Amino acid sequence: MNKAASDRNVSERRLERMMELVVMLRAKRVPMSADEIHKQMRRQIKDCYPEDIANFRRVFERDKEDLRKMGVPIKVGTVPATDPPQQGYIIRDQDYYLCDLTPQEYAALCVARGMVSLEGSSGEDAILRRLGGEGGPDSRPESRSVSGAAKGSGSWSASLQSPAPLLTLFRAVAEHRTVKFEYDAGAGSTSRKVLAGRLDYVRGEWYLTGFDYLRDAERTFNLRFIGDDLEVLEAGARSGGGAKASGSAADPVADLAVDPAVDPAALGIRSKPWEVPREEPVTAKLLVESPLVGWAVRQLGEEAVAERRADGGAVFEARVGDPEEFFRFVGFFLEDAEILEPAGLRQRFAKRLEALAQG
Amino acid sequence: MQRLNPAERAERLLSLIPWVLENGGQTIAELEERFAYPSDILVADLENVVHYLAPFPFTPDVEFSVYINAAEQVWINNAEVFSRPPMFTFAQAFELFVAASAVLQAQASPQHDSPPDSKPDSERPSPLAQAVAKLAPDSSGDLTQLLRVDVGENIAEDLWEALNTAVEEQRRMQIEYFTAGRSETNTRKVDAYSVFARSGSWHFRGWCHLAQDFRTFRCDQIESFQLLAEQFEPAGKERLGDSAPDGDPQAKGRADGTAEDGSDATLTYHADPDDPRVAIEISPWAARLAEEYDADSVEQAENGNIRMILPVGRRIFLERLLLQAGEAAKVVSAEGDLPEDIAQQAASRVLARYEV
Repeated sequence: MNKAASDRNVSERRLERMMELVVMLRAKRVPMSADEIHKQMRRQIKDCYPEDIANFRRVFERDKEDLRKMGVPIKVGTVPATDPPQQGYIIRDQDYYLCDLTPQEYAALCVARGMVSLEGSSGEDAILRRLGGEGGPDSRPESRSVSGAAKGSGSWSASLQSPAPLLTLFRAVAEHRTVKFEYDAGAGSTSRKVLAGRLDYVRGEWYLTGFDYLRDAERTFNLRFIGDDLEVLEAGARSGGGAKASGSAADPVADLAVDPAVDPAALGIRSKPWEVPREEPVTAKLLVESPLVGWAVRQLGEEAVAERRADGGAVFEARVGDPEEFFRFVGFFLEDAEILEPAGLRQRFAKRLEALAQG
Repeated sequence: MQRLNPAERAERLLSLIPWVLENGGQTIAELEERFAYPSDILVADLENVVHYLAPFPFTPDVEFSVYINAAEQVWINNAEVFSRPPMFTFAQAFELFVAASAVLQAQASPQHDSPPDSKPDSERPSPLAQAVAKLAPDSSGDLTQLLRVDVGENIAEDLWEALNTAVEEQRRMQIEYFTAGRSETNTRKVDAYSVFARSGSWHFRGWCHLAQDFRTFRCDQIESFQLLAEQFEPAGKERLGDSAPDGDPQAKGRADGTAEDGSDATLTYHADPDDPRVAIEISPWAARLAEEYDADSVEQAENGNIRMILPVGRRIFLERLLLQAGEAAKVVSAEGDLPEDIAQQAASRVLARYEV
């Protein structure tokens, strides 16, 4: 052992040092002080770290940072029997190991990862490598049928937007934290404090749903309109089994986050944008001329057709809680559609057109 | 293949060593491909570094040992400390959760086949659902309640099945396709290559016999379809790649939805350089309306709005965009036959329907 340092080039020496550091911190059952790491590592690999402690600290910090970036969980703890207490480092098995996945689970993750990705994501290859590298766990006989079937019928792909606050908000959701941000969806900026409950990706947009302290009710926020000043505040009160635990009076978002009976449509996510109840909902009647009837049916559903006309046109009924969103939808049709009822909605749309026509 | 720094090689080794321990006898070439590890560096690292690693506490008689035979097959011994790869970082795990949630959601949708993760015969969770449950942070509980991903609006079950059959069996389709740029429907034969979701809608990419070129079609603009018996010979990947990567969900549409040759596929990948350009300024909250279009440039104006230069092949597309955005969008300048008051003109036409 301990091949002469001179037999290796600089990059091999650093690689060996990082690998051996992982081996050593994994083997210890208690945190190991930096001084002890320095001593043991130099004993194992001659001159792997500088003899000078200050220089060692600098190089050691860089190694730790790089290892942590790649997911090696170097934790900090108190070295036993030190007075005053001394900080040490450890990699615990339960933190380090990728959980025990069956070959079928490996294969399913590989295939899912190959089908769906986040735009602009980094480290994609590292994810696949953790799962057995490019090609997945094909060499495991049990998994062949799973991964093989996936390459055939039913295969599709998707790339999802990845707005800046997405990962931070997911962490807040997973850890049941309150977040604070400026929100401006076109009606002016407001400062919101929200106990993060859930993230949804629907119709090409990411939404955060949670308990909004400003409105004192649950609300849904489009991540696109969340400002750059997102701040994660204190953890929530969830305990004793995490989100599986039932909610309590002191934890207004717990039920929202965990109750499978919560209907996303009721939260305004899966419904059409104009159905979100921003004001008292009304039922609108929209006349669509024949060239665009088929397209309108696919957007509104056959069940929305209230009347088919002899000239090929059709009247649709739509529940409108957000008129501005409905006007955007109607705008697509240009002169091939007309809001018939209610009169108030029709007048508002006409006023919008007048304002546009006057420039 | 890229050259790797020591940290990148360490990251690969932490996944490669467990793989070799479980699948001993893989060749250097196989490992190179699987782990994106250049073979010359891999061999050197195995022989000069991994071979000399030792479990702690260090004793001279127990070292990792690497054996590479004449056929370049690799075995590693005494490396049980690396019997499994490291856990994902939080960001990596999140990406996996997103992918898994999307697939699980698609499986739950009645119109979709179960893509990779065959539906369980019983109520037992599928392997993908089980994997997600294992990977979820302890604090999060049931992740499926915290993260839901629906990559595309529902499409009819029969269309979904036909498209997948067309892709799988290379069967030609005939579709009645609504062309938004002309507000009309026409018939075309298409050879579908891939199905993908983008911006919340399902699309497919394929060869359009009407346009005689590759095109991308929005599934919700297919009025009707027929899966034909005739099969097509797939073009080479490189040819498909001329227009866009196979199933590239980054595909953008031109502002008129027409093809370079004047046909009318919904989306194309390249704006015509001869098309007139329009500069519009749009509020950030309304910018999503313009994301479908292949802007020449997008920049933030001093007032915080988004300024975009868009090619406009068909006036109707710009009119739609402006009427949808309302006062959130303004035309700053326009080229060619496009009037700068195009929004006013369009609004006046529509307003005529509302005047008593």
